[in-house]
Amino acid sequence: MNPAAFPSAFPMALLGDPIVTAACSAAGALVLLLSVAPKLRGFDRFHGAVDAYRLVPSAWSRAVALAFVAAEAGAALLLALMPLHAASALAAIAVAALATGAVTVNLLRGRRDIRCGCGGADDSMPLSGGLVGRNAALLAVLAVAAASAAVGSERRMAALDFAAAGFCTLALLLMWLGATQLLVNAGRARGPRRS
Amino acid sequence: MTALVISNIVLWVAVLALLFGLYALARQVGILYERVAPMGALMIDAGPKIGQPLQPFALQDVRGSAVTVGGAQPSSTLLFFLSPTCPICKKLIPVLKSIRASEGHWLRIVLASDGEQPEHLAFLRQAGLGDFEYVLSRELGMHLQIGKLPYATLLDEHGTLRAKGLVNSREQLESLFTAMDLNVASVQQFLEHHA
Repeated sequence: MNPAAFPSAFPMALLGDPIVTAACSAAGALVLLLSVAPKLRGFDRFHGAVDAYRLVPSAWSRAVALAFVAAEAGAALLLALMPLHAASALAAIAVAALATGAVTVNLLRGRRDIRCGCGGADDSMPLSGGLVGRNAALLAVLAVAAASAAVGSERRMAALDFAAAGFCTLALLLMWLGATQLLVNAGRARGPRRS
Repeated sequence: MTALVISNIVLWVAVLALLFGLYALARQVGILYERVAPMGALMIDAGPKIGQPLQPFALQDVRGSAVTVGGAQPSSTLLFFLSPTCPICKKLIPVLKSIRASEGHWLRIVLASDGEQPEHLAFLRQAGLGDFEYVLSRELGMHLQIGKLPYATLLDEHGTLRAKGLVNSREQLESLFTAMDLNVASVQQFLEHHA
């Protein structure tokens, strides 16, 4: 390739490419699904976490927890079924931003020893700056998905494109899982008997 | 061009394998953290001595009813300290249920923990502990100097401390009963003096 022929707006030319949209949407959908599944399986536990956040009156916490799980599941399904619409990614951003905001408010209150409530029994972690960082990365990926879907592209995906998108999705997912596990480990190393 | 595609795919597979390997390693480290839980500053030998009476503690079950431990009671009491996030505690729950069935004619089992009520209510329901009395009491744990979990304390009908210790298995729980029968502080101590 002739370097001189590289458009100077090269990165921006990638935005809108179906691989970018597909990969970021799929990764987002998988992360949201992995996040909502333990909440569905152990709803009481999630309810307990929402209660512990103390952002809504205790009497409302069950309703709020139900609403959040429904929103998260809905956003995950939207992303999975309609990845090329920016609205799906925007819904996911709203859900993730809400959760991250709740975590941030409690961190600002100085409450570092409540569970985040994001995973199952084996994946529970206390609130921390790292958690906010991990969620910020998720929001960034979802933002790219939204922007890319909004820009759109007429390019049709061929086999190689699907492969590339698949690889990218897996890589993003594995990085998310790794970050989550490291946060869980840090929580365990921090202290005993965190309930 | 073909060479580039092949090399790209191979590189992708390698990157994904590495990311997965990192994630797997992080998970194993997490399991190690669970097994080698940080030692509390409290020694296991701390707290009221065997043969000392436990004054009555008027406590409240997580579901609201009144529970008293210590002082004169209709039967002996096994106080089992646990936590919803303690994996070995969960392993012992079936053992507790079976002990309750076989020793119920002379023994009352009271589960004890501390923390937020919704968490414990949720745990109680999930683990099927509805038949047990379940109290949350920081004072009880601090008085008995409970450092590591799962911990069991055996009181007789007069509220005297007869046996206590860290328990990881059915054998260790039953050794508490044996110690009480033999009128020694622990089976370990019996073996040391009589072996």
